[in-house]
Amino acid sequence: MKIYEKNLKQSLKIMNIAILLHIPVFLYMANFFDTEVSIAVGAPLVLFVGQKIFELVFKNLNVPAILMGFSSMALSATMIHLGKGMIEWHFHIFVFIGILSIFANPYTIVAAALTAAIHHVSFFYFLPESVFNYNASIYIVIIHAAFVVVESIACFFLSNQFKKSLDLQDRIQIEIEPLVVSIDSSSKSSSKSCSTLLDLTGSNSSAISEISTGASRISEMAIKTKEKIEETLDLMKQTQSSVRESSAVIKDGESFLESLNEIKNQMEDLQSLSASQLQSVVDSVNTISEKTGIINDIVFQTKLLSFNASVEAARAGEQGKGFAVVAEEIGGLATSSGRASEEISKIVEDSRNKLSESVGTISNKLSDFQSRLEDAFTSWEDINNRLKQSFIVVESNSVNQEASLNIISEGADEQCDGVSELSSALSSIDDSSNKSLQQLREIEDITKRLEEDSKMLSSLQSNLSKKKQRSHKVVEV
Amino acid sequence: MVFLKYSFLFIWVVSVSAVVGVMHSWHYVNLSPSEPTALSIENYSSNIKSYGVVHFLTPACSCSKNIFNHLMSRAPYDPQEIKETVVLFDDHQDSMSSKLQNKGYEVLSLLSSTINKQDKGSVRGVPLLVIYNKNKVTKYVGGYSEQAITPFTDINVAGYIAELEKGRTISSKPVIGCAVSKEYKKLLDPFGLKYREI
Repeated sequence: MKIYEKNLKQSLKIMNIAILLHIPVFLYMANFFDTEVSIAVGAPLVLFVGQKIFELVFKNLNVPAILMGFSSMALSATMIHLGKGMIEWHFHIFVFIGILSIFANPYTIVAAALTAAIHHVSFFYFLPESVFNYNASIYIVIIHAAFVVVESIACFFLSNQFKKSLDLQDRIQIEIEPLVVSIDSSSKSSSKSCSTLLDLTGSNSSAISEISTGASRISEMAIKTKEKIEETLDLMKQTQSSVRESSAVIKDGESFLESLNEIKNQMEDLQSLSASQLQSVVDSVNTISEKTGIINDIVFQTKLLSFNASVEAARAGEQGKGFAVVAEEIGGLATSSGRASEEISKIVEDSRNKLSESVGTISNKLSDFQSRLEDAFTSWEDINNRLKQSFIVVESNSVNQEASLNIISEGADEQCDGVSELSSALSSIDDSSNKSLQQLREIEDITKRLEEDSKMLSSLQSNLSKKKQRSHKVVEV
Repeated sequence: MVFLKYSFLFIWVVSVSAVVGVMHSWHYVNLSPSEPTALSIENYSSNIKSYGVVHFLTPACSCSKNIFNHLMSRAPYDPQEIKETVVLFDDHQDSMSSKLQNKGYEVLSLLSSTINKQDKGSVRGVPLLVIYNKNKVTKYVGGYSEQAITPFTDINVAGYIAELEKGRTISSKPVIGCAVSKEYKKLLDPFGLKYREI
């Protein structure tokens, strides 16, 4: 269907609706002016039905379009009647003649103008006083008609131009259609390429984001690794310090061992000294013991002998007086023995003193040794504690160092992953860039095609302008 | 077939034009009395002191209703100076008579079928205004306005009397409204759209 015919169809539809929309207005007017409600409702309905019937009867839409010119004027007449013939309602005629221009059919305007003209001229001839309610001359009628004629001519021209414009649109549509199809196709391709480019750009953006994220992560990991390395260095310094301290402790341990060795030597000396002194004491005591035994036996026997002699001397009386002397001698011997015993006592005393001295010396030495040993042991305990602490620190540092090294190792792994991801993203960007380049080449081709189409359109527009100018010239002629 | 189609179209256009023409004639036909001087005041009013004003109305006519509304909106003129009478045709339902009487107007109810033959030619349509002087001479016979009476129409009977008092004459205005006689009704409304009693 041509654009002009579509416009006719659309205009008929609009005007038919407009006719029906007059019903409420007419009802109000009928109520206000006390005119016929039946006409207010019936007239628009009859005109609407009539239009519809003739739209069905005539395939050529120009006929119902021309009839619409007549129907519109009949609608205006109905309004004038319902408004009790007031001259003001005649503006409806002027408005509708203007509106009828939408049909782009000059004959619709002609039909409307003729309807109004015939109606008023007929009234003028049959009821001369009725047209203006006074004895108006034909010239007055002509003046009034002139306005309708001028408007009708203007609307006729407008409709004609409108029709030409619609016909031109038809021609343009026919001529432009292949170009439009081509441009549409190119536009679709371009759109598709643009979508692909956008997708690629999106992918690139995503890859760049990933790279950025990866770089950030690597940077964070590097910072963490650096921190861990610094921590590890601190731990190593602490370990070094602990090791130095351990070395000092070991040196102290060495000197302690030397002192222990010295003590050992001293103790050996003391032992040998004590052994000889004690041997001497033992010898003295042995001697004393021997002598004391002998003496004691002698003393005992002497005393026993003296006693016996005394006893015998006593029994022998005078005769025993010799024995008494013997007994006395024996008593002297006993005395000698007593002296010997005193000597022995002295010897024992000396031995005892020597022994006491030896014991004191040994005791003092031993006390000294004990004190030094206690000091040595205290020192050893201190060394031991320090060593323990050092080893605890070393152990703890070792654990921490291990953990730090593990973290560093994990960080290194993650950095490796990050680098791998970066590599992958860069590879993706590279692919996308290649595809983008390809798409850009396609867009370049499409743009060239569009440029060619544009030139064709420009040429077509130029031709159409020439045609339009020719048509204007024809109208002027 | 084409001929039939266009014939049908032609008949349609002519028919619609005819109906529209008839409708418009109702507003444009001047129903002024054919013989204004034949309107005898004695038939409608008496005892005129200075001026006699007679309004011819019918309840079935919308223009008459507008005149009725105008009369109801004001009181009758001073009866010592102007005697105002309303002649009602075919007020079968008493839709105007009592109200006008209550307002103070002198009302004369008539049936259109009983109008004097002499007056039949004189009163062709309503609303009709007739003004007499004290000598019962007709000074004005015609309508109330140049156009059909609507709620917007300015009705100025007092102005007419003032003009007459100055010794001037007033050109008759058309009587645009409703026909009174059956003959006119049938002539003006052959399709029976307006005068239902036909």
